Amino acid sequence: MIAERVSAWRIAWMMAGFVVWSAAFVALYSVLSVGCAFGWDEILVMGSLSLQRVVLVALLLVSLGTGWVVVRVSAIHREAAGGAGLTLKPFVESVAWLAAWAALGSTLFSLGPVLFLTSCY
Amino acid sequence: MAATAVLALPLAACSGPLSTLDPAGPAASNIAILWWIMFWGAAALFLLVGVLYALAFYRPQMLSRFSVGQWIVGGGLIMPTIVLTALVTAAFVLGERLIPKPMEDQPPRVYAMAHQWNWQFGYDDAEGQTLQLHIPAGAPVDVVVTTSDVIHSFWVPRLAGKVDAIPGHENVLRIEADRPGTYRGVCAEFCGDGHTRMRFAVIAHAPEDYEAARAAAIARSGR
Amino acid sequence: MSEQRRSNAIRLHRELHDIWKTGPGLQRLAAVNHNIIGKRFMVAAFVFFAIGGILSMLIRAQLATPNTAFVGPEIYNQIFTMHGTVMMFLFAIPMFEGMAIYFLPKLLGARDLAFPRLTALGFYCYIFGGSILIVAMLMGVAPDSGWFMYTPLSSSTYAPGINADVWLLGITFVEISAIAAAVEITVTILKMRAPGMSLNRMPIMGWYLLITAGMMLVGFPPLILGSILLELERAFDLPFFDPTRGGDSLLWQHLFWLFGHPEVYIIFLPAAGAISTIIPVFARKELMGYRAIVVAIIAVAFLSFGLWVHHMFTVGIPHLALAFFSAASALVAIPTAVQIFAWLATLAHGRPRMDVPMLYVFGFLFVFVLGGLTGVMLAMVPFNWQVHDSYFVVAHLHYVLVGGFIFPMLAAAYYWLPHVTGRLTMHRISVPAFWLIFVGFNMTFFMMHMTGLRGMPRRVHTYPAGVGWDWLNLLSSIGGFILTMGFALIVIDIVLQFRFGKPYRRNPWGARTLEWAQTTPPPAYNFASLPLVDRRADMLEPHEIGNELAAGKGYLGFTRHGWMETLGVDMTSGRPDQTIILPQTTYLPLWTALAIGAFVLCLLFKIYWWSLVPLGVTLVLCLCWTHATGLDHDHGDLEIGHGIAVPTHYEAEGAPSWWAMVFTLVCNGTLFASLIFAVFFLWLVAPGWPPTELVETGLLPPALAAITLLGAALTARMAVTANAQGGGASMLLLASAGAHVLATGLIAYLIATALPDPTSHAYAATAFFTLAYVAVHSALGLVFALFGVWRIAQGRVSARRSLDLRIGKLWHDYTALTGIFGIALVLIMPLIVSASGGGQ
Repeated sequence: MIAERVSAWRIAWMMAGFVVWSAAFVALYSVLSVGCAFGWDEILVMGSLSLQRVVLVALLLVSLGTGWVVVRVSAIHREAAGGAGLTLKPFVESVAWLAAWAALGSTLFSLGPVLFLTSCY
Repeated sequence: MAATAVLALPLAACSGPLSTLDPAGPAASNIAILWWIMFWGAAALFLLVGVLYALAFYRPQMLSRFSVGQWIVGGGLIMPTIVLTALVTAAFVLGERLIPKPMEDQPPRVYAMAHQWNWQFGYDDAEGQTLQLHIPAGAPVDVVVTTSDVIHSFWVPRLAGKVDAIPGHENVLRIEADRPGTYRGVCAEFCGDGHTRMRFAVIAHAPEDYEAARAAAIARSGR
Repeated sequence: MSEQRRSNAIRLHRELHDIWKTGPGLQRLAAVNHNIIGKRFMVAAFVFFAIGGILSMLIRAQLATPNTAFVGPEIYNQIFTMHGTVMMFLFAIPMFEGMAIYFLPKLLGARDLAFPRLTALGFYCYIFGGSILIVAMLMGVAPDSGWFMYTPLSSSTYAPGINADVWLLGITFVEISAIAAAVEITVTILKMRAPGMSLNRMPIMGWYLLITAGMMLVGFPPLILGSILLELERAFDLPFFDPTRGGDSLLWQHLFWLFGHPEVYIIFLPAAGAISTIIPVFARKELMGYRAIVVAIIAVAFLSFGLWVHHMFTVGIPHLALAFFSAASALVAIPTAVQIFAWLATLAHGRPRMDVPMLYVFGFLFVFVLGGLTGVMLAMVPFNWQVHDSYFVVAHLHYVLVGGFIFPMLAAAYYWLPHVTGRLTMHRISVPAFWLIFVGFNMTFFMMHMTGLRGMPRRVHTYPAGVGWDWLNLLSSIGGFILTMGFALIVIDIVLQFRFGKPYRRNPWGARTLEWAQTTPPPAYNFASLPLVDRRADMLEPHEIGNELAAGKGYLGFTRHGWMETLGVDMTSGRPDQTIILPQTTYLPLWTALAIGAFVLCLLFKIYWWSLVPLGVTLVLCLCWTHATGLDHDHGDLEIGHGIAVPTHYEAEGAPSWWAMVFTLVCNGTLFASLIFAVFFLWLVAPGWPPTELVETGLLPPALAAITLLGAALTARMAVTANAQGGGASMLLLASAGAHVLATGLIAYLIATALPDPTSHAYAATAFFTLAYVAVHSALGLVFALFGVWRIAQGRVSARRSLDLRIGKLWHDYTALTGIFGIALVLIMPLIVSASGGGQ
C-alpha cells in the first residue's frame, strides 16, 4: 500500500523541476499578456522601470528561486538514497536531480529575455 | 561530397522578384544577413556531425579515447549552449530593431485590408483606396494589416517579413524600400480557393513624386 | 531428463496456447491479443501511408511546371489537406502505436498489454474514423481548409459544406484510439514489467514510449477541446471563434498548436527510441549515456510544450512573448544534441558494422540533423517572419518528420520484421531501395528550402513562370517520383521476405533485449514463463533466457483456472506485487466502436436527436465490458513461482485499471485546463468584449450545486472506508448517487435560467460549455455510484476486492474538484468582466 505511493512520488519527482519550468512559463506568458492588455508597460514605478518589467522580473526571480529549491531538495533526496558526487546512482533520484538542473537552466534561458526585450510591441 | 555540392546550390542564384535573398529594404537586408550567418553556421555543424559519424564508423579508435561524459557534455551540452546563446541573442537584437516600436519621428501609417481574394490599401492622409500599395521610398512606413473575412497574410519578401491579417485584430508591419520600384507581394496564409491569385505589389516612389503618383492611383481605382 | 523437459515444455505451450488463442474465421474480429492488433495497426497505418503518398504525388504532378491546369484549387485544397491529415493522424501516430502495441510487452517481458480489449477498441475507432475521411475524399467532400483547420476559413460562414465536419468528427474519433493507446502504454510500462526490471533496467525504448505516452495524455486534449468547440460552433452556432461575437480565431490557433507542436515530438521520440535500440546492436556495445538520454527525453517532453507559438510568430504577439517561445524552441535542440552525441559515443566505443538497418540510421542522422538545423533557424523570430508559410517550412518539416520518423521506422522495420515473419530479408533489393529513397527524398525537399527563400508561399495550387521557382519545382517533382519508386521497392522487398526470406533460429542480429528471447513468429502469450531480469535489459543473453523461459522455469510457468495471467510489479523497483488477470477474446470492442461510429455519423449528418440512441447504446456496452472483470470471491495471495505469492490485481492497491483512471483523469484535467485557458484568453484578447449580457445566478443555486458535488465525493470516499471495514458501502454509494442527481439537476437549472443566450456571445458560450462539462461529469458520477452498488450486489466487491469502488472514488473526487472550480469560474467571470471591461 505504502510502497505504491512511495514509488509514485519518486517517479513524480523526476518531473518536479520541469513542472516548475512549465508553471513559470505559463505564469510569465499570462502576466505579460495581461500587463500588455492593461497598459502596465506605460505605468512607471521605481524610476524608469515600468510596472510590467518589475512584475515580470520579480516572477522570473521567484521561478528561479523555486527551481533552485527543487534542485536542492532533489539533491537531498539523492544523498539520502546514497548518491554522492558525480556518480549517477541511485538512478531515479539522480535523474530527478539532473532534470531539476536542466529545468533551472531552461528557465533562465527561455524566460531570461524579460530582462532586456521590449514587452508590448 | 554530394552533400557539399548540394549545400553550395543555394549560392547559385538568389535573385528574383519575390526572393527574400534579394532584399530591397533594411528589414529584409538584415534578415538576409541573419540567414547567411545561420547558413554557414549550420553547414559547419552539419559537417562536424558528419565527420564525427564517419570517424566513429570507420576509425572508432580515434574517437574512443573520449569518455562518454566528454561526448555528451562537450557535444551535447556545451557546444549547442554556446552556439544557441549567441544566435538567440543576435536574433533578439535584430527583432528589437524590426518591431514597430513608437519612434520619435513616427512613420506614416497605411492600411492594408484583405478580402477573399484581393487587397485594398488606404492612407491616413488621403481619401480613397488603391489596389496596389504606394509608399515613399527611403523612409519607414507602418502597414496596419487586417481583414474583412478569413485570415490572410501580408508578405512582400524583398522588403520585410510577413504579418497576418486576423479578423478583429490590427497588426502593424514596418516596411521600408531603399529605392523607388515595384516590389511584388503575395498572400502567405492559406485563405481558400483564391489564395494563389491573391497577389499585389508595393510601389515605392521617390518622395517628391509620391503624392502625385498616389493621387493618380486612387483616381484610377476609383473609376 | 531432457526428453522429460521437452515434453513438459510442449504441454505448457499447448495449455497456454488454448487459453490465449484467437479463433479462426470471423472470430478474428473478436481478437484482443496485442500480437494481432499491433500488426493490424501497422498494416492499416501503412495503407494510409500509401494513400497519403499517392496524394503527395498528385501535389508534385500539379506543381512540376508553372501554370498547370491538372487540378483546380477546389480539388488541390482537398488534396493537400488530406495529405497532411492522413500522414499525421492516420499514419504517423497509429504506426507508432502499432509498433508499441506489438513490441512493448515483449520488450518488458509481459504476456500482453494492460487492457487488451481497449487495444482492440482503439483499433476499430482508428479504422472507422480513418474510413470516414477516406470515403469523404472519394466522394469529393474531403476537408479542404488545410490540416490545421484555421478558423474562420473552417467555420460555417466560409466552409458551409460537410467537409470541415468530416475532419473535426473523423479526427476526434481517431483520437479516441490515441488516448486509449496512451493510457495503456503508460500503465503497461509502469506496472507490467518483468520481475526485477527496475526503472533503471528498462530497455531504453521503454523510457521513450513511457514519456511519449505521457505527452499524448497532455498533448491531445487541447486539440480535442478545440475540435469540440469548433464543431459546436458549426453545428449550434456557439461563437467560440467568431470575431463578430466575442470569439477569436487565434484561440483555435493556440489550441491547435498546443497540440500540434508536442505532436511532432510524440512522433519523433518513439522513432528515436528505435534508433537508440538499433545503434547499440550494430555497434556491438551497450547504449552509452543511458541516464543522460533519460534526462534528455524528460526535458524534450516538457520543452516541447513551450514551443507552440513558434507556429504563430506572425499573428501579432508582442516580441517579448515571441522571445520566450523562440528561446524554448532553440533550447529543445540541446536534449536532441545530447541524444545524438550519446549515439555517436556508442558507435565510437563499439565495433560498428553495417547492415540494412544501419543504412537507414545513416539516412536518419543525415536528414534529421539538417532538419534540426533548419528548425533552429525557424526558431529565430526575424527569420521566421520571412520564411513562415513558405516552402522553406515545407522543406524543414519534411526533413524533421521524414528524417525523424520515416527513416527510423524503416530502420526499425528492417530490424524487427524478422521478428514478425521469422525470416531474414534479402539485401539485393534493400540496398538500392534505400538509395532511391535517400536520393529521392533529398532531391525533393532540399530544393524546397530554396523555393521558399525565393518567396514561394505554401498551399498555392499553381505559380507563374519566371519568378525563379520553375526548375526547383521540377527537380522536386522528379525527386518525389524517385522517392516513390524507392517505397515501391520496399513493398516488394517486404513481400519477398514474407514469401522467400531465409528462416533463422533465434536472434539474427545478436541483439540483447528480451523480444529476441522469443521464438519467432511469437506465440500469442509471448513467453511460456516470465523472466527474472537481473541487469539492464539491453544486456541480456536471449539464447539462454529463451530456452529457460520456454521450459517454464521463470515465473507463472503454469496455467490455472483458464486465466490469462501476467505479472504486475512495483513501479520503481520491479518487485512483483500482483498477478494480473486479462480478459479473453470478445466482440465487445467491435460493437462499442460501431456504436461510437454511429454516433459520429449522426453528428456528421446533423440528425442530432438520433445521436442519443447510439450514445445510450455505447454507455450500455461499456457497462457490459465489466461483466468479464472482477472475481466472486477472495483468492488471497497466489503462488507465481520461485516461492513468491502475490494477490490478484483485483485485490492489489495499484491495479492497472486504477492507474488507468488516474491517467485518464490527467488527460481529462488537461482538457479542463485548456477550457479555462480559453475562457481567459477570449476575455483578454478577443475583439468584441465586454459582452452586453452577463451571467446572473444569485449565490444560492451555484453554492448548492457545489455543495452537492462535494457531498457526492465525500460519501463515495466514506463508502470505500466502510467497505474496507466490512459493510454499509451500498447505502453511502446510493447517497452519492442521489447527490449527483441533485447536482446535475441544479446545474441544468442554472444553464436553463441564468445564462444569456449561448449563441449571443463567446462569453455566454464558454459559460454554457463549462457548466455542461460539470453536468456531464456529475451525470457520469451517478453511473459510477450506481455501478458500485450493482457490483456490491453481485458479490464482486469485498473488503479485499475494493477496486471498483476505488476507481469510482477517483471519478467522484475529480468531478467535485473540477465542478467546484468550474462553478466558481462562472461566478467570478462576471466580476472580472465588469471590473475590467475586457482587455481590448
